[in-house]
Order: sequence, then C-alpha cells, then structure tokens
Amino acid sequence: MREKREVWEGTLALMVLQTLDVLGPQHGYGIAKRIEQISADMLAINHGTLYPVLSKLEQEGAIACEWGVSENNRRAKFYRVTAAGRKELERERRHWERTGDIIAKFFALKGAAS
Amino acid sequence: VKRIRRFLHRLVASFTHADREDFAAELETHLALLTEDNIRRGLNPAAARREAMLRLGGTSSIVENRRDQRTLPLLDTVPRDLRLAARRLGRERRLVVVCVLTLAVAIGASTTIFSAVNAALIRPLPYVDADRLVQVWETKPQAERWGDWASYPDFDDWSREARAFEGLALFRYGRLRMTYGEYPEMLVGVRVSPNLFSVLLVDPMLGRRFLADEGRPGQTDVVILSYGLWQRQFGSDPAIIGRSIPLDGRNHVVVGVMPPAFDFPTNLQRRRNRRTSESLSFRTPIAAVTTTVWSVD
Repeated sequence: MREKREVWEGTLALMVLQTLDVLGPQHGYGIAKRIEQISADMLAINHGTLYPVLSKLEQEGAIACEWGVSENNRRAKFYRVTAAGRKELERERRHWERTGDIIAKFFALKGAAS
Repeated sequence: VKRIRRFLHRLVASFTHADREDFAAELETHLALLTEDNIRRGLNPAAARREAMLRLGGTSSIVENRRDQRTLPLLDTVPRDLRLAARRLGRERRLVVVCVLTLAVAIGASTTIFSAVNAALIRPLPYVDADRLVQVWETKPQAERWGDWASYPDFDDWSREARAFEGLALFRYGRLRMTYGEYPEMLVGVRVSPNLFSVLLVDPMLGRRFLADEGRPGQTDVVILSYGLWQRQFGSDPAIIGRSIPLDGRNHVVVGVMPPAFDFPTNLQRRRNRRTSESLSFRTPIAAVTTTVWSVD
C-alpha cells in the first residue's frame, strides 16, 4: 500500500468545513475520524494539528461551537458551520475544481516525445 | 474582513485567558475517545492510551501552540522585554550616558545637515521659473580649480557671447561698512551687475531696479536696501529714495527698497548673517545691494 500522505497546509481547513457541512455538528475527534475514513486512510492526521485549524476557523467566524455531551458521556465541544463558513466553503470548492480541471488538462496532454 | 475578525478575537483573548481549561477538557475528551477506539480494536487499556497520546501528539504543546495562535504573543512578550531592557540599562549607567550622548549628537548633526541641504538643494528657489535659474561657475583646469567665482571681465565676455542663457547677472557678496547714524555698522551686502533684478524677475517694493549703465565707472554709486535694513535703520521712511548713505566711505544713492520676502542669495544668507553684527536678524534678506565697484583694475 502507498505511504500515507501528510495533509498539507490549508487543505485541512477545507476538509473540516466540508465534513461539518455534510455531517452537521461534530466534536474534534469526530471530525478527525471522519476525514480519515473519507480519505480511505490515505491521509494520516496528527489529531493535534486539527485544533489549531478549528481555532482559526472559529476566530474567522467560519464555524461556531457549543458544549455538548459526547457518545461516552464526556463534555465535548461541538462545532458547526456558520453561514459565512458555508460561503467560504463554496468559494474554496470552486477554486479547487478549477485547479483540478487545469491540472487534469495538463496530464491529458500526450506529447510526441513520450 | 476575516483577518480583522481574527485579530479582534485574538486581542480579546489576550486579555481574558478564558478558555484554557475548556480547551484542556476538549483535548481530554478527544484523548478518551481515541483510547476507547483503540481498546475496541483490541489493545489493552495502557497501550491504548499510549497510542492515543501519540496520535494526538503531545497535549501540552498543543495547548501552548493554541495559546500563541489564539492570542497575540507580542502583547505578552513586548512588555516583558521592555522591562528586562530597562533593568539591564539601569545597571549600566555609564554606558547608557555614552549611548544617549552619541544618539543626541548624531540626531542633532543629521538634523542640521538636513536643514542646510533642504534650504540649499531641496526647497526650490523663491523666484519665478526657479527651475530655469542656474548658477554658473568658472573652472580653470590648468590651475586645478573648479567652481570659482567668475571675474568681471569673464562675465562681460559671457554676457556678450553665451547664447544658452536668456540673461546673465553677476553677484558677489561681501561686507559693507555703513557709517550712518551714531555708529558705523558692518552689513552683509551683495555687489551685483545692474541687470540682476531683471534676470531674477523681481522688482523693488519702493523705487526702481538698477539701470543698465549704473554699473559703469564714473557713474553715481547706487544701492537698493533690504526691507529689514530699511525698517530698522531708516524707520521705514518712504522718503529714503534719493537720499545718500555712506557705504565703505563712498556715498551711495538709495534707488529702491526690496519687499520683505526677497531673499538673496538664499543659501548664503543664513551662514553669513550669524557672523555679522546683530543688526541682521536671522531671516532678513541681505542688507544692501550696490553696484559700481566692478571697476576693472
């Protein structure tokens, strides 16, 4: 199997937003777990790196949080996407799609040299 | 907007420190959930917890990073550094004195140099079409002398033959002994060619400019006074025009008085004024202007 990829800067925030948008309110652990699942364990998240991202998104107003109780009856912070966060997500999505399209076109080129 | 929002949040957080325990609890929950997960996967509780901690990556460093990220670390460290610096300086009195003096001298010097440069080079000359005014110097390569004042005969030649200029005027500043009133007085004066005012495009406030032939030998000596001198020594008397005053032992007829703003030659005046008698206040224009002494011996 291929080596697990590190998550690069900036994309993690996007994954968090998307995850929260799809699943609704989640705590940090849930988000980390979900991201790993979706990427079919190809991404290894150091769970610790998630919190700075969450904190930044929260300060930017893209997500909001409230305290709740987790599955194992512990106090946990649940994050959800705000309207501003959704807009940001939409913008980012379009950006990534466009980038992907462009890159795909380049890979589609079959040069005479190859 | 996002950045501003984030900055405000951080600013507030810097002073509140509210969520530190909350965050610890949040991490603890995360750790517990990870551990349980590991136990479900068949690890024993101790190993499960260890694995979870590895996965999370050191809670204390996370907490610290988070503090730096949520607050403005500068607000914390800058006052601390300042206090430390002040204490250190307090211990090194002598060094501090030397440093402060060095700074003071350096700042003073650069300020002085700047004001001089500003007056002489940066600020435009206070004349009409100042960008078309140039000062012409004489250069004698064989004597290795550059930037000499031109002699009168040279000036004469230039005036006749140079085609590059609309007009050429000559001036030379120097001292004038005025024996008027009770005590003789030393003035700063400029000897000029009669056309100077036509070249600079300025007119006296009272009286007239010099006439073209007033510079010739044998003509009456004439003088135009600065506003400051006229005001101080002659009581702003408009009847001064036509009167004679003795300068350097020769009688000069006053033909005009310059307006207060006239400032010539701008970059020389400040330096000169300081050395002459108290009679010239710091910003008054050059005192007396006279012709005639251009006799060619």
